[in-house]
Amino acid sequence: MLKIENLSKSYSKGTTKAVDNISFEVKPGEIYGFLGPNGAGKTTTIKMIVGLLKQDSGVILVDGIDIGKDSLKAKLKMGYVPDNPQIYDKLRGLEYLNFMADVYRVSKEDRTQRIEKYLKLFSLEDAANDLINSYSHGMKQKIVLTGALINDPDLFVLDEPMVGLDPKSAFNIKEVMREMCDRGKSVFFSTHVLEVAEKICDRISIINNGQIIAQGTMTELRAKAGREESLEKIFLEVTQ
Amino acid sequence: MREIFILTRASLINNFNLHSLNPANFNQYRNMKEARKVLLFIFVVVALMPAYVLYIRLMRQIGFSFLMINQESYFMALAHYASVMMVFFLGLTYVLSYYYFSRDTDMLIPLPVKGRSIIISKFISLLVFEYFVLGIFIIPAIIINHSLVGGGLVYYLKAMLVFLLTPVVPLSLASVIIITIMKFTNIKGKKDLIRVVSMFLFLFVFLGLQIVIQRAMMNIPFGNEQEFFSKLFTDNRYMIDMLGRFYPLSKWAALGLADNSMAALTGLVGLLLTSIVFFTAVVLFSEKMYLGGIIGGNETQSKKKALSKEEFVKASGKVSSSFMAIFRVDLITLIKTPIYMFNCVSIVVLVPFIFLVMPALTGVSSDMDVFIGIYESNVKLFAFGLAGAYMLFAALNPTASTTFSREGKTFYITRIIPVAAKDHIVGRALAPVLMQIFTIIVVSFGIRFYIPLDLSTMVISAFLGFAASLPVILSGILIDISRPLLDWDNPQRAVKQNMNVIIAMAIGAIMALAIGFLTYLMININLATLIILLIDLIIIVALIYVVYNLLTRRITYQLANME
Repeated sequence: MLKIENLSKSYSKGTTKAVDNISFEVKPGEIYGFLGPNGAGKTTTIKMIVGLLKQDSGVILVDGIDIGKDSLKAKLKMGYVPDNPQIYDKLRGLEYLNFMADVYRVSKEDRTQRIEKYLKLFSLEDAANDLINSYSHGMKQKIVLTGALINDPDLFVLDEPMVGLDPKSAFNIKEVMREMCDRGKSVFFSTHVLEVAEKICDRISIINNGQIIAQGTMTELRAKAGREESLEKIFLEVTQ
Repeated sequence: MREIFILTRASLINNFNLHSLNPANFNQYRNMKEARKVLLFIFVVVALMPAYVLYIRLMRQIGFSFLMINQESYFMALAHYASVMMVFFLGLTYVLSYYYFSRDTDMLIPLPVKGRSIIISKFISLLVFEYFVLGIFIIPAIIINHSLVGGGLVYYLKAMLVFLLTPVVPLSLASVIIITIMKFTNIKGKKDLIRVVSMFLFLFVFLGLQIVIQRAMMNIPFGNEQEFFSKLFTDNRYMIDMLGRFYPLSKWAALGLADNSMAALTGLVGLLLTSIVFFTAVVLFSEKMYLGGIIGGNETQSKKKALSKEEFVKASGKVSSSFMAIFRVDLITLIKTPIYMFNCVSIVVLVPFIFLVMPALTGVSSDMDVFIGIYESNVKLFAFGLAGAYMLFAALNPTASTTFSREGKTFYITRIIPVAAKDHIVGRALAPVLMQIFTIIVVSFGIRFYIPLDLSTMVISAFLGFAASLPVILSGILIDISRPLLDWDNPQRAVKQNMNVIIAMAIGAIMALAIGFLTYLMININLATLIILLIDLIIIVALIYVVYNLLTRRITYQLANME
């Protein structure tokens, strides 16, 4: 569903390599965790996947579509949740969701059904008709999540999705991820919450200084570490 | 005092990006992007230079006209009065924005600093900003005035004092008015709407008063014209006294610079004392009122009421095309953000109001005589001239040239959504186009109260004016997508401190002048109206085609490549 080949990105005229020749693949029906310390290159990679940054070299394929060549087609297949839920404050929750549904060309029946489902799941029904300006950080995060799910994306990309969510909503978003994958869709997300990654990810990549330093299922990572260890310990060892 | 100093320093650094002037940070200028910014700035300055030279020449001419009628000191008083008005009007939106909507205010409120200190630091920052704007307009007047009244180094020392004091009183007045409006509109419910309506009401009342005052100031009772002219030549302070009755500060400023007499000293002392009194009043007033208006001032009340099933289906089931969705978000944000409403939409309401409603309200419609004269002598010229005026209205409106900048940190949404360039263009052009249609309809019908326009003149001017506005609006969007100003902490910056607005205005004005000049030539060689209209339309369609194609390419490139 998502194929990254030799992706590189540098800043400050090439002096700082944010992402250095990375490659990985997220298969259909897979939850893929992207881990790494602060400044490792996670958000830069995610921003290149969703079209917010242009790579210096390498290819990003979403369901076989090159985002650099046919970005509109590729974007139609994606849903994106940024690390900071900055959205149109002057709109009502429902107005924002309708906007997302319109630009992703979601039919009337589908949008009504999905909006109802996710608002209920994230306990936002009472606030749906309020101005986003009046929302708390967590509520904004939840309305962004709902907006990103409105087109039932084949590839769901999330940057630190658990930040600001209450325990119930964090649990629910994990359930949503699992349910999407059960339907053959893919989830790619970055997180610092290693327990979450350990529990729900089918495969994991650890990025440090722009390079992928470990990749595989939990079993493969443990095998590489040579002993039965938690993801936290593996993470600390490889990123030191 | 230390608190005020620290806050003012932070405010100045933040508002004027002073760190970029630090030699230690100069290496960033080597960056091509920065170099392009500097080049663009130079280009804008050079492009505006002819207009500025024209302004200086006009000022000189006015100055020498007053000298010829023995009223040379009135020149400085008039320049001072015009500057005060400019500072006051600019000040209203700046005060609103800097005192209430800038993000640093949210950061300052929880700190253990006095509301008074916040206001003083913000007031000083605004004062510094006003000095830059004021300098451009009043420094030529000061130099011209020197050639009229004479004086050596002392003149320039006094002029510096006058210059420094000029914005204090109008900015104080603007501060008191905005603080009062914000304090009394900080109520639950439709706060933003109430604030916008209050601001507009205030502006209308103020403009009305202004026109009445100006008329009264220059009103020569019927039959007394002889006396008026004889007094002009015998009393060289006759006109300045007339102005002084309504705004003594301008009289004091002008007298203070006129010579070194006792009257000059009294004038300067009066100016200084009044400025101190007004500034103190702002400090005292803000101590009582500011925090009451700002705490919770930007909070929005939530109803937390679930919609019924029918309401929900109705609200969530409206399917629109991508461009309509973009237009809706653009329009809602424009209308619900007081700063945007005031800066972008106000011109649509104020222009017809000033030109059409105000003369009726104040009983002064003599300004229209010039236009009636043109209409009666050359209908063709009037029709095409009116179309040109509509085109200029479009160039003056900053809605198109700030469409992407206004999104600020939410601009990433525009970049991730799967929307084609043509939908972005139509979606973003619709709001300014609707405003333009509104202006054209109001002016077309409103003008008939003063000038008996025939239907064909109305239709030609409206139709051509509307068509000619389209390339202007599209080029506004083109400028903004080429260099959107997204990193702001205060919505005012997106519209008022955005160079795109000036560039777009200049390009719009150039288009209007070029088409206008060509049309004028065609009228002069007596071409038939329909032929002129047809040629103009061909040029406009060609312009639309060129700008639209450039814009499509630019949007596609920028949305994919911006960093």
